Amino acid sequence: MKPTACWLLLVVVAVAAFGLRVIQLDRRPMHHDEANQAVRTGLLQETGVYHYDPQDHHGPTLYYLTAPLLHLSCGRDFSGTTETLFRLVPVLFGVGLILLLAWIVDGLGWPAVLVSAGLTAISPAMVYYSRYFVHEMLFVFFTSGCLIALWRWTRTGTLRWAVATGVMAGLMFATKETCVITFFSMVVALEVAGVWSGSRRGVLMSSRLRPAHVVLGGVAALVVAGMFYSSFFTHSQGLADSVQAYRSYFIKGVSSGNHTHPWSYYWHLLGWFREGQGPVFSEGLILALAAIGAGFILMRRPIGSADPALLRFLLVYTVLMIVIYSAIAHKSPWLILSFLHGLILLAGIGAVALVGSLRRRSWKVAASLLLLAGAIQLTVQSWRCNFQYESDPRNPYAYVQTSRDFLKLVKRVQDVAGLNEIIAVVSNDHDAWPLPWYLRKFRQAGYWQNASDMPAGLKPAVIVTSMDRDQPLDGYQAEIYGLRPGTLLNLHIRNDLWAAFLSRQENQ
Amino acid sequence: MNKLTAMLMTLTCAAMVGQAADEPMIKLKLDLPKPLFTGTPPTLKSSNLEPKRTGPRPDMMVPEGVVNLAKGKPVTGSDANPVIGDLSMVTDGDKDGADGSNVELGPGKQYIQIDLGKTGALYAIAVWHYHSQARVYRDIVVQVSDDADFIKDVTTVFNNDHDNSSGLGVGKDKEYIETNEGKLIDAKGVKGRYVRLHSNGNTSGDVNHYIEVEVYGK
Repeated sequence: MKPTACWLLLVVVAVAAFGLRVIQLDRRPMHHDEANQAVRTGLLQETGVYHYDPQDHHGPTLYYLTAPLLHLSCGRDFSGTTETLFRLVPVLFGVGLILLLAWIVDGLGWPAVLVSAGLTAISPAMVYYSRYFVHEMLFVFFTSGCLIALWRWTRTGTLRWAVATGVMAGLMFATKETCVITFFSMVVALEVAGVWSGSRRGVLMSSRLRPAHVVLGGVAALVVAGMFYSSFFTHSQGLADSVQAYRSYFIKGVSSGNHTHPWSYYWHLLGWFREGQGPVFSEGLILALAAIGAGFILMRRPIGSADPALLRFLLVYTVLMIVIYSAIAHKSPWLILSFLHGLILLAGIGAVALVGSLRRRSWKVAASLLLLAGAIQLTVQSWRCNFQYESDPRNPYAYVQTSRDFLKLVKRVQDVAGLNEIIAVVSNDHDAWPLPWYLRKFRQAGYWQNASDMPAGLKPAVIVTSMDRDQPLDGYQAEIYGLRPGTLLNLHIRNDLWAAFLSRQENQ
Repeated sequence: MNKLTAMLMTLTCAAMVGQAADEPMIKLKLDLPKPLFTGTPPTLKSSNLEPKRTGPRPDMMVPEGVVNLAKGKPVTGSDANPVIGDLSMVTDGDKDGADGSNVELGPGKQYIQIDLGKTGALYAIAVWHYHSQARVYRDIVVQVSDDADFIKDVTTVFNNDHDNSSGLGVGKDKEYIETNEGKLIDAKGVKGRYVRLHSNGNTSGDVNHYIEVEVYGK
């Protein structure tokens, strides 16, 4: 296939990926983490102020890269923002992840790049978290950018790629604290792959990488990360906090809690997941092809025009990432992306190696058709994940997901109370989110830990209470709504508003 | 003559009522499936929710000879092609809360309808929607009629649709948490051939589930 046709195909894949990611972006209720990030971004949008929180919420890039879109769409008015607007940001980075592959064509070859692009486009996990307003897709994009720049730097030894590597590393650092795992895996993989490929001194110490370039790359990383963490040179404390944060994140990583899962957790989600009578979800096609790719790399069999050193690097890097993430007690499904990205690259290699190893043309055609059938099945799963089971616990990636029933609570509040009415939320910390996002249009929404904390005599139009707080409340009609699987909320509607609502219902 | 007729009618009615009142009553015994979670979560309280009960469920008295008329009877519904399972599971006698025992109907307002085969006097209706997780199923309305289309002579025996979102009238019954005990509804001897059960999603999602429905009568 001619390079022009390959380019065209890559763009077609990217456009298709965009289509799959962008439709019905508001379909899934906001997860409490998404809502939290959206509200923090809204503060930046409205006030222009952001300070990094070393205890939680991860790095600044998500907020700073989203705020311009919010400004363009609705100025400084956070209440005018929508789910679609926020989720458009990870969508763009999810599509960008595919287009980035164009910079590694001379390392993997067009066939492997196109297969990897296709698998990235349809992987249920990739699609699901491209439609999810958290840091993960940005982080994977910057990781991919860093890997590509690093490879090109080690290959060309030019300053340009040294700086590009530094910029991408800086963006990774400014996005998520888990970047240290990726940096560690990259450096170890680089050295192991270097020795494996016959370099006595490894890659980092090779004469191709000039010390001045290493320093300049490091400076680029520090400048980029420093810019974000210092809130663009307005909050110097952010720089120190960005380092101190690792203490709390380390404690979270090793301590037991609600997010503690066994080492096999990610394999269960990716390999074979069936909850109750729900459908089976499996990204087994990617796992199988990645295993084939790994086998060919280990056997030192040539794979098309791919650079053997790069393949070894990718194999060691991906295996290391899987081992480290599996060993950490604290697990959440979106962390899969960090190593799924590597697995997809290996799967691209595996597919090309598999078809290339077959001698007869008819076998090649049969294998290609089989892979196509697998890809179609993966697309169907992606559709189910995102448009049928998007907030259903039977979806492996819907983790502590807000229930669709919660949207009925929001609608009921909107139906009975005016935007100037007092809305009270009396809740524990866990059950308050994602209410602040959904109540953003109400000008007088207040949050209390206990009903007794509310000012005496206050008679809010509605009171949302978590089940562990005081209830019932006199003078209010109560309704129960699901927040998440196993977590319910009470909505108390003042009797006069309830009567007016019922009267309106009757007249309709 | 008219007076005599009226007297005779009154006496006949009195005799019939007396007969019903004198009819030996027994405790309705339900075979309960294994519990998958224990009772109402202690922190769950709401003025629109049945309060947490301490001790066993009060007995429901029914006339002697009452049997489950719904067992194995045909079931139809608003969702002819359920998401999971099939409608026959509603009357197959399997009340287990584990997977594979329930039928899942599509999102939003849905109903199922049981044809008892002939008109009978119905005394109790027991329904199990789902009992492996604390959930509230919304807008539960249970109706009985001799009309398969439920247009005329419809008797509502249970309705907790407090905001009339199903359009079947405002219900005064309270919402409840599903458990292995199911919901036992007093049908008060209403006569009918068809039993229709409405629901409108649940607190965990939009879809509707039925494990089993039993209709006790004769």
